[in-house]
Order: sequence, then C-alpha cells, then structure tokens
Amino acid sequence: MEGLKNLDLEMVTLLNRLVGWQNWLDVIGEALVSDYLIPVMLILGLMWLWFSTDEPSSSGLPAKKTVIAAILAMAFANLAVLVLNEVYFRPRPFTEVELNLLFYRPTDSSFPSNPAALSFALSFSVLRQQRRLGLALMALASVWSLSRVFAGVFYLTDVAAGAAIGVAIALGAAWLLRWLEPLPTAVVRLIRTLHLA
Amino acid sequence: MSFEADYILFIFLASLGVVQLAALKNRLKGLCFIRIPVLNLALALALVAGSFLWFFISEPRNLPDTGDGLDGNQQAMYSVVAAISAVLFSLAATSLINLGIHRGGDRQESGLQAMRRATYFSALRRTLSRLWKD
Repeated sequence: MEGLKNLDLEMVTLLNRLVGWQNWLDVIGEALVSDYLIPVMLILGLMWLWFSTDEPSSSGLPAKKTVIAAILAMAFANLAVLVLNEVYFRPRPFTEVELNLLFYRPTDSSFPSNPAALSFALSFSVLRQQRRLGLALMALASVWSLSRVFAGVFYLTDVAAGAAIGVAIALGAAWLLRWLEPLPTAVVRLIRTLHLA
Repeated sequence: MSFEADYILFIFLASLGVVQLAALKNRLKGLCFIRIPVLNLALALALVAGSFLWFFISEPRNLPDTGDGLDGNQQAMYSVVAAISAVLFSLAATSLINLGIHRGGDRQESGLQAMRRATYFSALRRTLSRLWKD
C-alpha cells in the first residue's frame, strides 16, 4: 500500500514537472484542466448525438436512449463520488508535496476523482452505442482526467478509480434502462411525437 | 456580466451552433437559420468556435467553485437551462424565418425528420390536429 502511495506521488510529481517548462504547454494545460472546457464539449457531444442521428424508424431509437443513459449515468456517478467522499477523505497531492499548480486549490477529497467519474460515465455510455462519437468523448474524458494529474490536483489512482466508477455506473445505467423498458421507449416516442427527438 | 450569465450565454451560443450543425447534417431545412447550406455552416461554426473563444479569452476562468466559480450542481443546472433555451429559441426562430418552406402535401415524417419539409411549429400543428381528429 505504501509502495503504491509512493508511486502515485512520484507519478504526479513527474507529470507536474512539465508545468513551467514551456509557456504554450501551460496555456494548453490551463485550458484543458478547466471546469468549463471539456465538460461543455462533452455536453455538446450529447446534444449532437440527440439532434444529429438519423433514425427514420421509430422502433429502435438507440441514440436517444443512449443520451438518456448517459445523463442517468452522470447523475449516479456524481452521487457515488459524493458518498465515497463522505466515507473516505484523501488529501490532495499539493498538500503532500510542493507542486506547480495550474488550477485553484480544491478543498474536497482527492479520491475518487469526480471529473473522471462523470466524464467516463458519459463517454462510456455513448461508446456502447455510437463507436466514433464515443471514442472521441472517451479521448476528451482521458485528456481531462490526466490534465488534472498534470495540474497537481489529483493522483493517478484517483482518476483511475474515478474512471472505473464511471464505466461501472454507465453499465449499470444501461442495465437500468433495459430493466425499465418499455418506459424509456415510451418516453422517447412521446418526445418524438412532439418532433423533439 | 456575472460569471453565471457569461456561462449561460456561452452554453446557449454553443448549443445554437450544435443544433445548426445537426440540422445541416440531417438536411432539416425547417430548422436552419439560413437557407444557403454553406452560409448556415459558417454561422454554426462561428457560433461554436466564437462562444468558446469569447468565454475563455475574455476573462480568467479557472475560478474556485468555493469562490466566484460554479460548483458541479450549478454547472449542471445552468447547462440544462442554457441548452434547452437554445433549442426552444432555434425552434421558434426557424419557424418564423422559414414560414414558407412547407412541402410534401399531406405526408409528414415523424420526429425531427418532419423538419426536412416543414418548420417545427407547422409540423407540431399538423401532428396535434391529426391526433385530435383520431
């Protein structure tokens, strides 16, 4: 356990050493680590999926149900991280070693990473049905999560655990939607009757 | 403007752009702001790229959520409000802009596809009147 903790600290220190190396890298890092860039891109990805998928047949409607599954998965992932943060508090890496921060100093628990859990819950939900868009969103989720390690606010194991939680919850949300059938199909059909899906 | 207002405007403008890109991809003429596809594409890209550039270049945005920034719940709430507003604005504005585009006689496709030949309001009106008759 101590070995893993040291490895974690070494990894964050190693990645964080790149901060300040090149000005352009810091500018990119500050943008990627932001609470607003990649999360907004992920939301726009869901909007694109809802409005762009050509589904003349009203029988399947998989893309619309994927969007619903992704939103459910994000909500459950947020709840799971909230509960885990209540039962276990891990201090942030910048409180353990001196790091060059590219981000403000969050005060909540480092483990598990909420951004990783939410972004992987969303992107994995999409990946299960829409391969190309899902892969693009998974790439964004990975970049966002790793940028938080680079910026010195998470350990690598925090984002790995967050990603695992996100993926598990995405699978759970997909199962829940299947279990709730025919309700999700009825909801999407109703929205479709109003020409909104 | 406050940070909240900036964030809502950012999502609103970017969502308008995404809806236009989707309308172009699916040839939903009734949902396009401009009837000339290349101009509508330029507008859509300008809305998406412009909103991101404006939001991130105009002010420093890495603000703590315990201070002037937004926490996760606020972010989710404002995102939903802004995205839904953008969709409603798109539906209303394009229904006015494209008043005369209705084609295809009595035939109407279901869902979003109806906007290939009609505006949102005319498609909805026809669907509701059909349901009322049934």
